[in-house]
Amino acid sequence: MNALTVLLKIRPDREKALEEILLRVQADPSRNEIFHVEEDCLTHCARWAVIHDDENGYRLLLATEFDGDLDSYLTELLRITPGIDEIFGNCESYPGKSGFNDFIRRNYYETQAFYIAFRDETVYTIRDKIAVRKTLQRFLDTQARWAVPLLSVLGSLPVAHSFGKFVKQSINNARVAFHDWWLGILLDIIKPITQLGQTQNFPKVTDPAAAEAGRNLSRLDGQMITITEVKPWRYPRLRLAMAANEFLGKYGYPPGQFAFVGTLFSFRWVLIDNRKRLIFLSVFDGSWQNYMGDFIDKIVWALDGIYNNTKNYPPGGMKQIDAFKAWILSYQYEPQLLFKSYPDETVLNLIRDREININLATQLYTAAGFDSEEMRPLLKAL
Amino acid sequence: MHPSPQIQSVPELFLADVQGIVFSGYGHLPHAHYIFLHFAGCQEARAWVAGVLSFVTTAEPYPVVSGVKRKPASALNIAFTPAGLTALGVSKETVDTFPQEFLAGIESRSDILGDTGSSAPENWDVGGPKNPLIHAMIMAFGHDENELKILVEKQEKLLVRSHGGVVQIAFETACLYPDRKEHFGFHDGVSQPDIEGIHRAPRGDPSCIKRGEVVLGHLDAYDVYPLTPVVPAAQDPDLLLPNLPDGAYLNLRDFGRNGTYIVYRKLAQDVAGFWEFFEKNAGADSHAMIRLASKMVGRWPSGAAVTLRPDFDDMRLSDDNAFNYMPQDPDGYRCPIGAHIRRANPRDSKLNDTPDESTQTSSRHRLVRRALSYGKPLFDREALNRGEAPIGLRDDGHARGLHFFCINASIARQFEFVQQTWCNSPAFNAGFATKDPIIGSNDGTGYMTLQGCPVRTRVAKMPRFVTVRGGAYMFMPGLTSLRFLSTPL
Repeated sequence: MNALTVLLKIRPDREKALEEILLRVQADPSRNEIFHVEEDCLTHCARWAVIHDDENGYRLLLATEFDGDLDSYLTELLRITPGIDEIFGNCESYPGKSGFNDFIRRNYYETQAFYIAFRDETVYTIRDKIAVRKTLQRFLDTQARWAVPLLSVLGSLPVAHSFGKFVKQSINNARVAFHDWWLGILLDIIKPITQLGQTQNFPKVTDPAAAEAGRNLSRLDGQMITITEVKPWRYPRLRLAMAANEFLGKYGYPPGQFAFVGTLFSFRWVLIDNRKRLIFLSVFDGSWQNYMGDFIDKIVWALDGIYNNTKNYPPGGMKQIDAFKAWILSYQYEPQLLFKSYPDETVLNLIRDREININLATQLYTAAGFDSEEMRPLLKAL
Repeated sequence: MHPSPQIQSVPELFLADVQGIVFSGYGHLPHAHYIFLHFAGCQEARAWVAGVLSFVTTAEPYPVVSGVKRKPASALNIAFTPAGLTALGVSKETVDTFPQEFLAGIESRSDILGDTGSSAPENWDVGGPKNPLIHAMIMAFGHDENELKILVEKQEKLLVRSHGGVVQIAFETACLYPDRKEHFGFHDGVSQPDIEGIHRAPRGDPSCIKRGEVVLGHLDAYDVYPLTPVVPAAQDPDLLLPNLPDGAYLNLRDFGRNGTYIVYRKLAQDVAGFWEFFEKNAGADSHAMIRLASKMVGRWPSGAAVTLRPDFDDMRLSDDNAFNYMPQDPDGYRCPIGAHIRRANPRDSKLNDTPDESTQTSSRHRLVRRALSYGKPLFDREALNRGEAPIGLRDDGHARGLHFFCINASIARQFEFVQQTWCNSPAFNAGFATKDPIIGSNDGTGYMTLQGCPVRTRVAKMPRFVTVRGGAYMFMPGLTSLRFLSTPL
């Protein structure tokens, strides 16, 4: 999976027209004439948002997580967007369809740190797994009458143990223990460093003006876009924090389980405007309130480590919960167009889908019958 | 002002400043009227508040005379909507310091709350766009109907004396039936959080929450003070309101101190539809019907938790709320993971969390519930305790349901969170296409999964049993702030 972050300057006084086009697509993703979003089989999630700052005026932010290489992706985007000129014609220097790929590449920003829940999955493989699970659900719904007695018998059979299995399990246990050991040490080092300069003696009364933050935002669930301003001379520390997050995302936790939060599909940081501003993009399960709760309960260190390098961050960090929420809302944008390839699935759903597929495949291809320790609990809960 | 509930002494003298309903459900006052009001004139409305003030029940302990606790025969509490505060002349500077969700109002939060279709605000009896704008609500309670009538008549006189400045726009009646059951037939109101320093929760009890989760001006679960509405000091020349805690922002006064937010929802219950559904899915067998319904609620009709008594009802556990799920029921084989009470308060069982983490998360989204029924019972609910389900039950065309209130310091983090993230999420705890089977915004397409061995079973086409018929987000001020609202401008 790759990430695309593009910022395009909007032509003077065209921001409202562009917003309207995007909102029109959002309102009717399947039948609009501009952008056939639902035909998109390469994008995991896409956000199109009109953003603004005094220095740069209005810009279009296009942020997606996609499968394959960028050229193939942009070609596919062209194919499913008959109204490409209508959209990008509102942006400065748009050369038309023929120069679309180069246009996007010219305005593309590198990602500094990128976490994705399932690195080995594509939109196709995820949708396949969902389909397998739904088939299995239908099977259990319709065939349980005869399947239950059979499964009861199979389930009561003793689990076969072998020396090979024992060795494999022992090696795995040792690997997990070693992993937990180095992760624990690393986190013990990282956590205090990330919060350097923050105070524990922060005010317990939140500035009442915080109540006004985010008042103009309404669609906050499921994704987040924030653009904050980096403090002067903090670039090295910021890069270090980003590197730590990326490393832990890749090697510290099982797929879908960054800091054992279990609700994060992806997140990334992108520096823009000569390192002056920082875009944070994330895709998550459920509500904004739940997302904030997960952050504050479990990964204070990760976000404090990044955000305390940006301006106006509360001196106590995320522990100043209401001040933090107000701060982040004041830098948050809502996209005019949001597309998710599998909108009804949560990270925990997908983890379960993966386990079902792996176990089914194992059972089918080894023809080992239904006697699987891993499969039993899944069937009970599916 | 009447003193009220059964409260343990606390080191601070704040109880006289908190409205009584916050810490007590007035269990001895089973009859209630809810009077919804609109302010037509600012000065008249403020004078009316001054008149009501003397009736407001506080959270002070009931007096003890000769060793006997003297409980009052009636009680009254009052709350205001944002529009009501504005109509009372509260300045824009102050109103703007209320949280966004409160100012937006319950009608504009339909997507978050699942108030769509038949539950949409357009279809409400109380509140919503088609009814007069609610400014305030009086909650009046009586030991019997006569006591309640006396109290309400006094309130009516106050309305008359306001010379049209305060107008009644809706009136609802409610009661707590002697069997203490809601209309579906289940013992209600068992699960309430104990509040630190107020209730006698055992030390370390996971159900005990910080005072600031319920009342503004006190430390909350995050060990900070919840956001509070404030008044510029210049607008409080008589120094009626206290400063903010810890000497913060001395140019502001704390309008929220000892106040709270109260959410009102009028919930119509389709009792016949409820039992018809279980008859259809479990067969016309009393035991099977009650068992399936109890699995979906998470409690037996007596109130006994299914996770504690998976196979039969047990009256001895009817008020037992001191339990967790993980010790005996991690997989939901007893109480399904998507059951109503396991969603509304997952306790230690949130998937992907350790039991301690889950308990901590759950404790940050607790609600104090105050609910009474309206309408006559449709069937003999006591029969459920004898194992007899209402087979062949048909609707009689009369309205019945619950006037549901919940009290919390943050509507967004507590009430809305529970409704959106736990009750109405089809993927709660890694589930698939299941919403809360009792209060969820089901539309006949979803499922209820009953985890089981060797395989789970699913109940398909879950309908909506509870329809929202009214609602409002209101601020219930402390007594000091009420006095501030009662002073002439």
